Amino acid sequence: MNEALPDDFDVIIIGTGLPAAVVSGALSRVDKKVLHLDRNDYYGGSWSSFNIKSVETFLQNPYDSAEYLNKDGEETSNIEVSEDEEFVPILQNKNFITKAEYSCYLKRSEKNEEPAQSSSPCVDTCQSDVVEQSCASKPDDSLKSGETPISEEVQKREESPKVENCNDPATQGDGDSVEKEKELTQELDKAKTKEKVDVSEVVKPRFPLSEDFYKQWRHYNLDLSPKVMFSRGLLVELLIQSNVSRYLEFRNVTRTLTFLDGSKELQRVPCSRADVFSSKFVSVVEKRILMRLFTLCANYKDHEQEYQNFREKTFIEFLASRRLSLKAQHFVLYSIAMVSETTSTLDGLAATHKFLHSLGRYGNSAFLWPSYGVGEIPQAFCRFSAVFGGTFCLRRYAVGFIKDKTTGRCTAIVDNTGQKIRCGTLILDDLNLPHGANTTSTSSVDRAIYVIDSTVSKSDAEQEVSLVTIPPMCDNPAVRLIEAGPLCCVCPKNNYYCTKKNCEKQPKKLPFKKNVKNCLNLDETNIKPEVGGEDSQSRKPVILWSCHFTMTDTNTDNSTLPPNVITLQGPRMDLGFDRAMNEAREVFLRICPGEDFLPRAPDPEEIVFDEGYNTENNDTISPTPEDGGGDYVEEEEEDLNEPAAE
Amino acid sequence: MHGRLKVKTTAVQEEEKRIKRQKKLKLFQGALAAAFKKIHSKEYDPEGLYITQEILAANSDYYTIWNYRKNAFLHFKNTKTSDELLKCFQDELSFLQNCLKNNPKSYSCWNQRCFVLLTMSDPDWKKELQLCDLFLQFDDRNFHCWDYRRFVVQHSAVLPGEEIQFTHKLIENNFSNYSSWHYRSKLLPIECPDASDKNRIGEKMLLEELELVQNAFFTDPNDQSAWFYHRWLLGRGETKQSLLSLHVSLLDNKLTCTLRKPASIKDCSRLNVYINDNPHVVVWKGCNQGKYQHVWQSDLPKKDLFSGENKIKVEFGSSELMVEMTGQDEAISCIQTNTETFRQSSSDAKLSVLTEELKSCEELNDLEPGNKWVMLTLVLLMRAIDPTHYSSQVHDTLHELCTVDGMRQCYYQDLMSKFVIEDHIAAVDLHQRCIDLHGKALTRVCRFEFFSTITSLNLSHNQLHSLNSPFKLLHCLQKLDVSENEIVEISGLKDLTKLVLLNLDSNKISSLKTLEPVTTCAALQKISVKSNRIPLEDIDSLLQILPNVEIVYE
Repeated sequence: MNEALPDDFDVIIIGTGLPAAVVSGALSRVDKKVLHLDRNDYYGGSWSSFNIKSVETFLQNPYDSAEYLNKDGEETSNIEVSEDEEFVPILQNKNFITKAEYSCYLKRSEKNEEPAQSSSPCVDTCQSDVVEQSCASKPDDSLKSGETPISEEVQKREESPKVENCNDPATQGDGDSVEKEKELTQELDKAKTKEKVDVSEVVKPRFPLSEDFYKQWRHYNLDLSPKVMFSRGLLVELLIQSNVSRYLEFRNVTRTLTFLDGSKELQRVPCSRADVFSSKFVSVVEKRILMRLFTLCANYKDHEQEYQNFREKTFIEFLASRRLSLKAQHFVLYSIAMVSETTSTLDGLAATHKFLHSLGRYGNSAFLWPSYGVGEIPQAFCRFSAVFGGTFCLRRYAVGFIKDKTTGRCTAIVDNTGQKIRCGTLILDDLNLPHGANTTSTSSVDRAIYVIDSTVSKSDAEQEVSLVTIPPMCDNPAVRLIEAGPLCCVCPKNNYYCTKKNCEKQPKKLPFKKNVKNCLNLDETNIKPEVGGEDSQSRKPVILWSCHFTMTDTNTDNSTLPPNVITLQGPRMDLGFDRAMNEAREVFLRICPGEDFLPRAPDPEEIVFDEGYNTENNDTISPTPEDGGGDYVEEEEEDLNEPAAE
Repeated sequence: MHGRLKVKTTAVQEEEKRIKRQKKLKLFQGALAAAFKKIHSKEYDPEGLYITQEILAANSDYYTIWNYRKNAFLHFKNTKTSDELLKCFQDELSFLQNCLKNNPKSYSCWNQRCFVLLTMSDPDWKKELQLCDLFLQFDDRNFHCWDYRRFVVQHSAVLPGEEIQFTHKLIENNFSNYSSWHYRSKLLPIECPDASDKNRIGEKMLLEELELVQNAFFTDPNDQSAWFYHRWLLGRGETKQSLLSLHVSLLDNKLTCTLRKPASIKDCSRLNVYINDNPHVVVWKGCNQGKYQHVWQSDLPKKDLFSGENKIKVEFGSSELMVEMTGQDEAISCIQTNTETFRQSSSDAKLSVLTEELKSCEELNDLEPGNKWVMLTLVLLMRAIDPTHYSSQVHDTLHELCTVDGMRQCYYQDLMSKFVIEDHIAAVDLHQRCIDLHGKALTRVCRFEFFSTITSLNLSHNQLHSLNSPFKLLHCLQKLDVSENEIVEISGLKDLTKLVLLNLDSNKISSLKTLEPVTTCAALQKISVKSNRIPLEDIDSLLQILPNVEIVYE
């Protein structure tokens, strides 16, 4: 990728984080000449999704890209600048991922086939990836009929191709599908034979070996910044409006769970009418009270008299005044409005309204989740930008920009090959910081990703994505988890989830982990042989693999920068995408005041192909990443487009 | 510019579309011509199937074309091998599924599917059930699919329990679903029938269902589907057919029986008449028009009754009534009415269950004051539990409903009138032959079958708007006072052979034409029409039409 690029662009964008990608698409759509670079060999920056191998590599060294210049800009002498120009280096943001660690708790091989008596497992906690542990029986017997993760998975996969062919990984067409099919049949056969084994007599380990686990590395899509989309949030509207949705697929967040104080189990939050109706955790009277509140919140602006006495009070006081039981208050506050105890009534109402407004647009849920992970979304917008003429180049970045001393404006960038490329505007995403600009760390989020062997809360229906909110308890801040099942194309046979947490005060790490683990009954020490016949309903999910890291948001003070250099924010910790979308729109309007922000892209039949080629196939640089980190699936998501036609 | 997108103008696109459409039309018409040629020549071949398939893919409601395919399959049945035939049918099923995807409410498609399933050997019913699952998942109120589901269930002996589970799933998804609730009401009596009545469900199941439906109306009290199911659960018990009254008149030699429920002439064969304990064969004649009637009359043999004591007994099933003639011209016998008389018609569920339901509805009413469904259910429950005890509450609630749900004000008033009349009947001895219902704010009169032997009826000072009920059932009626109402029409007052006095004062009768029915009342002696809106010339005409009747108009 070291060939020379054209050396004049309207806008140059460095970094392919989501807001940058959206701005890029919007600019290309209105015929701006856009150059979009990223120092990484993948798209998305801090919004990326990784497979198991790449996430481990990433966590070992998040900043391993080759650098042309060192960070202090000492070698600026190499850059030729004239008298009235100044070279401003652009540095990699090396602060955004810290305290990264990961471990795999699965045992490595079956060297020791003798049943060993010392069964208490020892977990090597310092960055080790293997737990040495003895095994009680042959690995061949590793299936418990119908209840083990593997056979459960077989069931799931057996069903999924029938229900939605478009989500079958086979459509990825990367040759992987055949392999998978084979695997599937093998697993099926295995499961079938195992069902005949008398369960009560055989002792079997129920976990795969570490090697087998890593064999499926490509099937994982783990998000650095897990988020869900509000069904009526700005991102969804934008995807529909612009037709970018054709590059993506979605899943419903099928349930919201929470952890009630004093309860040992996760409970399902009644969010919708159907949930309230079928919930067994609230009495009929509570149901009525909840529904009354929902009805009010759905158009609270028309019923000011209902809350005017609470304008100065907190939302939770307002909820109490509506005769909501403590349990119902908890549901509304933490899981529906997703606010805190100190939130004001008006903010709480607005948050509840936002949730309810999104509810029911796509199924019995307020949220959508992008299949193959959040990292798909920036890629979709990049692709859109490329389709409309944007030039993309990975592993290429700006080492700095050139500032005209007289005008104070940025005139060009210097990329890592030393090429000078002129630009009208320069946009930097959160991973690229201009030297000398005032940067402050605004907030940091502790995130963890767990691969677990079964869902955190069993239910009759197959769950696609679950959102779990854990309220602040015993000085532990609130935790939010997203659990995605195998239907979401983010993991092969195990569920995984990401946790994220607000860290206003710097907490110790242990309580955070402990908090999560206690609430979810998670345990990585449980990887030991188990005697068959255990009640699968009460079985705790077990962590097979985990990672932890802290993501820090950096705020760049734009006032010291040239007016035509714009910096973008990182993913932050909000659940949805509205902030990022607003930011993208503002940036776009700053560059193109009065222009349409991502108007509908024409359908193929509306396009004139006078030069005898299809514009769609004419991407000079394919935005598709080379490995399985994320593949484009070109099916249009019907669900998304349907309401657009209403 | 290189790589830049050019979008066609709307005009260009319109033109392209038009040409495309024209092409399509030409193709369609060509195919249609070919298909009809095949239809007329009864030529059933693969080409015909292909052509018709193309037509149906474009318009799946074309039943003539489907019929061709039906005939073709019937033809193949005799000409093709079973393997070929199976292939044909399977292709048809998958083709149908595609058609249904585009047009899930096509009568023809579902119909054709039934045909294929019935015609092919060894159909896969399980797969059909899954198809129904799928289509109901997309639209849980698609009644075509519900019909088809019942068809499949019927032919494949699916257990009612499984179907109940299925409805449960749909209801959990969205309980505003009449189809599911209704299906449940059909399945539950099969799965857990009540010991005494096979159309009802056993108590244990009843309680579970009540809890389920309670969850629904607490969640959304404005959703009527749950309320209707609730009402079904609490049951409108079937009223048993029985004799209400017996009237013997020697003046015109008539025996008149009144039945609780309208009966046909065939049902009358169960009416057994005994004179002095001797069976007596009679010919029954309805006193009104229509196949089903409450009141049936027969002629009495004159000879048997001219002197001495005579006992006349009429039996219907287990109910019987008897009159003793001791020289008088006329005798009646009526059932003894009481508070139980109308109870069972509103409910046959156990009292404890009803009381529980009342409690939770009261709770809901506190939470959700002014909800019409809650209030109406409260009224019905109170009536079912103890009409006397709740009489004022019922009245107040109905009164409130009139303001809460103004659109249905008349319905509630009529309901109240019915309750008032029923309460009156329950409290009165019908042998008195005199009913006084004046000043009860009645908007309608009903339960005429109970009044069939009375001679005097006072309905004055009410809010009656019209007298269109069949007053003819009151075959002994001599005196009728309907003054001080808002009556605009009296079409029900036809052929009242015994009516002597009619008071229509202070009503809203506006013309002679309206009064015409009274000309059919042969015995009429006096009619009062004071304070109406009848023009004087109409009164004059009336005087001429009814020269022997005293007409009071001023």
